[in-house]
Amino acid sequence: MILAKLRLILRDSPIFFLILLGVFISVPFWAPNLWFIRIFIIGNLFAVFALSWNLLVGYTGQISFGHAFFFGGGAYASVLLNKYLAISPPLAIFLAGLMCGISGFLLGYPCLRVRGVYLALMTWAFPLIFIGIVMYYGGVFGREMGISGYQGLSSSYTINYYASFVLLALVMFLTIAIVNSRLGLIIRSIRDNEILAESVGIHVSRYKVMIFALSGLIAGVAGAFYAHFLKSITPELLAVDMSILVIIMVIIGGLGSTFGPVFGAFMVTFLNNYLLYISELRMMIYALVLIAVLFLRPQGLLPWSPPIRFRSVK
Amino acid sequence: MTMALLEVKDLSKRFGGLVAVDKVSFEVKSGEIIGLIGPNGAGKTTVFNLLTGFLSKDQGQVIFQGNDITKIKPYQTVSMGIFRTFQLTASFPGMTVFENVKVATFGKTGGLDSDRKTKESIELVGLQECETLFPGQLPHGYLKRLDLARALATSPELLLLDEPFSGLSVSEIKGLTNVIKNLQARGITLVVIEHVLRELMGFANRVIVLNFGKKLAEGHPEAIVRDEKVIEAYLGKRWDNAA
Repeated sequence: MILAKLRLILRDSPIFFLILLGVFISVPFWAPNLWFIRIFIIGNLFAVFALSWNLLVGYTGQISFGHAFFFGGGAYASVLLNKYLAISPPLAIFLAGLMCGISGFLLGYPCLRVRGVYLALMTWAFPLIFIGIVMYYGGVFGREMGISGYQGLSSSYTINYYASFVLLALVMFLTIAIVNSRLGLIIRSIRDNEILAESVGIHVSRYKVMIFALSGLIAGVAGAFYAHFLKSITPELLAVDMSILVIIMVIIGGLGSTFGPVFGAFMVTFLNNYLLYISELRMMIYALVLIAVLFLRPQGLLPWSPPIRFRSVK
Repeated sequence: MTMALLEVKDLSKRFGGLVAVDKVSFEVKSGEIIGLIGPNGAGKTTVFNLLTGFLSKDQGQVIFQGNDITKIKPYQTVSMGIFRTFQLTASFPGMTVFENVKVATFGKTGGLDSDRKTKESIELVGLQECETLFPGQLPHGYLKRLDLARALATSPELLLLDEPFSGLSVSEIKGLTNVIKNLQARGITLVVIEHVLRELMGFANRVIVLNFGKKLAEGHPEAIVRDEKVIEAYLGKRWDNAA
């Protein structure tokens, strides 16, 4: 009873969201130290990354096991643009996002040919190609040492925080706008039943490619921002772990919901930080959490997530 | 004499060595209800799949309202004014009944006035009480009606129904028959696949019989049930003629 009531308050009350918004906006003022702000910045960026994966997988039903391609790809693109062409970080981040959007568009085409498990396998292979390039062309990409010695967005944590928060707010707003629009209904129908969507007159492949591009663009911007904040990048950003991490964030928070991925991203970011000293065990702990969530609460940990049986499980 | 709405000429499809549809030709006139019958595996659903572009044609030509639609793609059928339903009920499980129908209104009108069109289609099949429910919460008979509501939402001129009565009770069939007659009254032309002639007799203007991919007979339902060839296809040769 009380739990059900609490759930409704959390879901419907604007006050709850205003409080949450207030907490986020005031982070630089109440944060006990810079490290704490840093966690929140990374949280914001991971949340954007998670939302991009969720748009593709949770709403459109196109499984990607290789989203690190866009996140890491955006990071490398932006950093190289800054280092070699001296393009200012904000513009470089924007251009990197655009490049990832175009890659998403191009990679979307081979993805139209495959479904389900095969699509997962194909997308899983994308970042591996990129890692190959990074390792082979060491002169430019720096091999496993990565790249450093490029400009950051700003040396102020406060500015970095607000910039990342605005990015997150924009992407959340975009997600909500898409989900509640005609496009939202169309992509959900593709997720639920592709053949039926086709027969009610939806140009399925066009929308799939469009969402691939948009998801790639958003992930690319998040990755590029992340790179300019950390001021050094390594091929780990392209690694399988990164692709898995975003999946874990979204599943923990709730696949196919708007706030779920954000919640999941912050949970993982905080765990990441507090498990820093046992980093060897980190992935194992996430894996156990993932299994537990899938087993006990497949709709995600957000209290107002609807039960999964009314969602697509195809 | 009215012009044919749909003209099918020499439609053929083979699956490897099996000729699933073999030079089938027929015409559908505007406002008609055509029954498409035949034993299991006769090629009825394959004809639908060929007409709507879900399968590519090996041979033949399809003309709809004077336009050649032989090479049509499935998503283009709705904007042409053709819609097909599936043998098994199909739905979008993660969307409400309202959303399930609404998404079908986008194809033709480009989403204009889609809420009104959605409401109207839902009311026509009598599902207005279930608007906010999910397909998984509806009984089978209601899912069949949801299929029809979705079909109506596309504003079709030609509706291809694939076994609309399968798995329904006698009273549900009666209700659905009324809905189908209602559709005809609204000027929609229908081609209905059914196994069982009895269901079709009540409303079909003409019946086409397929057997092993070939057109076996065509005509008024009364005449079709007396046709020796049709009886043979369904029941086997008569004992006294066989000798």
